[in-house]
Amino acid sequence: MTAVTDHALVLDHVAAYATAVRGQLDDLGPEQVDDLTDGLEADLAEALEDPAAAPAGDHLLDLARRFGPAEVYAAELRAAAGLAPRAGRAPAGRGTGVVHGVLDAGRRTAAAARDAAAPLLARPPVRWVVTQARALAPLWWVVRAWCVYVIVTGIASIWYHAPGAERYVPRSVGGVLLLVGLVVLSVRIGQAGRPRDVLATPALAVLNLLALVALPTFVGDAHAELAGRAGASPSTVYVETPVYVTTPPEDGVRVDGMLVSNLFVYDAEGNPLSDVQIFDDRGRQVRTTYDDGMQDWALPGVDELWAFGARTDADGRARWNVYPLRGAPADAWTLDQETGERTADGELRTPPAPFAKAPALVAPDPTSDQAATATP
Amino acid sequence: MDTTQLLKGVLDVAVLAVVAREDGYGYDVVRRLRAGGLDDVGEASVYGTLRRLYASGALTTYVVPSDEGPHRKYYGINAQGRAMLEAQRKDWHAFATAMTDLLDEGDLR
Repeated sequence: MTAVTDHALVLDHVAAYATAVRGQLDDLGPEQVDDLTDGLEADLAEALEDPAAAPAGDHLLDLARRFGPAEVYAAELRAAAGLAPRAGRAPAGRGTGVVHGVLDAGRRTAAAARDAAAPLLARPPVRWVVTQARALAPLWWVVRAWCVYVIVTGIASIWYHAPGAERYVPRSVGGVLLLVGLVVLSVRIGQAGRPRDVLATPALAVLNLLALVALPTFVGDAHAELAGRAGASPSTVYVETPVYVTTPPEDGVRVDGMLVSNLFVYDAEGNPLSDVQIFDDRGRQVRTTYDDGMQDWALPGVDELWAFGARTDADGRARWNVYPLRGAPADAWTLDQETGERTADGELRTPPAPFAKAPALVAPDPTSDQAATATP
Repeated sequence: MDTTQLLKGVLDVAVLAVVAREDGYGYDVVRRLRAGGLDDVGEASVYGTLRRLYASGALTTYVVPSDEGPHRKYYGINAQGRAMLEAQRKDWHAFATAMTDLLDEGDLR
């Protein structure tokens, strides 16, 4: 360790010890404490580093061993200065009211806490953390100013019964001035150090505590508010938008929008054909029904409903693209309750055709075709 | 003998004498007192005495900033302090002479 950091470390410990001593003088007026302890740090530091006074050793970092407990040191200082020993309670005249009683109790508690924390604070790792935290103090001064800003704008929005547009971030000149003013004030208070005023210390402590407690809530609210501003509106708005739903494609064959149950095939001369397999251009079977014979169909010109059955190919597979489909009236089928299969009681037959014979196609004229191709 | 009790009575005049020679700050006064033979003098006692003498108007004070650490509070003597020192010096000599005589007489017996 270099001499410089050594010296800085000593000063840190000296400051902690001097604070503890001042804590023991807290029943005196601020001016008296100032008068008694002004220059104390310099004296303590020089005494510590004086090789004639005591050999350098571990007492360098344990000031209570070198100078005695802060309480005893303060008592000696007080006695030599001709002041009364530390009073158990605040002397009369400095206020006997409830406020002063509370303040005195608070001061005594704070002093006791400082005394208790002094040995802990003297440990190097704790000192390091405290030093780092102190370096971040200016950041805290700004943050607490913002917290006060949010509190002020919150009160203003309640007062005027209006949701504050500048609740978290100033949007107007007035808002910016308010925030900047609060930041300047907070930084100045922070730079001034511990206030000397009797009421200022607890007031500042309460304010700091309030800001610390409110900070997570404020940050969360501000985040939600800013997110709301950037994207979705904070209040729900319903907008009617046409939605086009694509209906899933339906299997089967349709003619004029109507599902077809059966196909009848005629040859070029208009004669009906039977057992015709139909495939599409990709080789897929063209099926009119997908119910596997379970559904009943109304046929044109037939009173009773019909159900259809499949044909079987050479490999024993059921074929539903063989037309005209063969079937039987619905009451000619029996449903097996156990297997759920429907079997026809008799032979399946072709349902009535729309007409016995279709119009014959006009046969192409070979001569005219040749003439057409021959003609340039 | 417990010199601490003796010191209490004479610390004022001792501090006045040291500061009268040359202005000094707290620990500087302690060091000069110790160098003068008052080894048992308590630092806080000296600081308290300096403040009390200043409060009673016997000393003046001024602050000297330091580049490498906290500032030092210097004390100097004023006319009132010199008068006080002179009076106490006389008292001490009278007292010391009486004590010396008393003790020497006792020694002879």
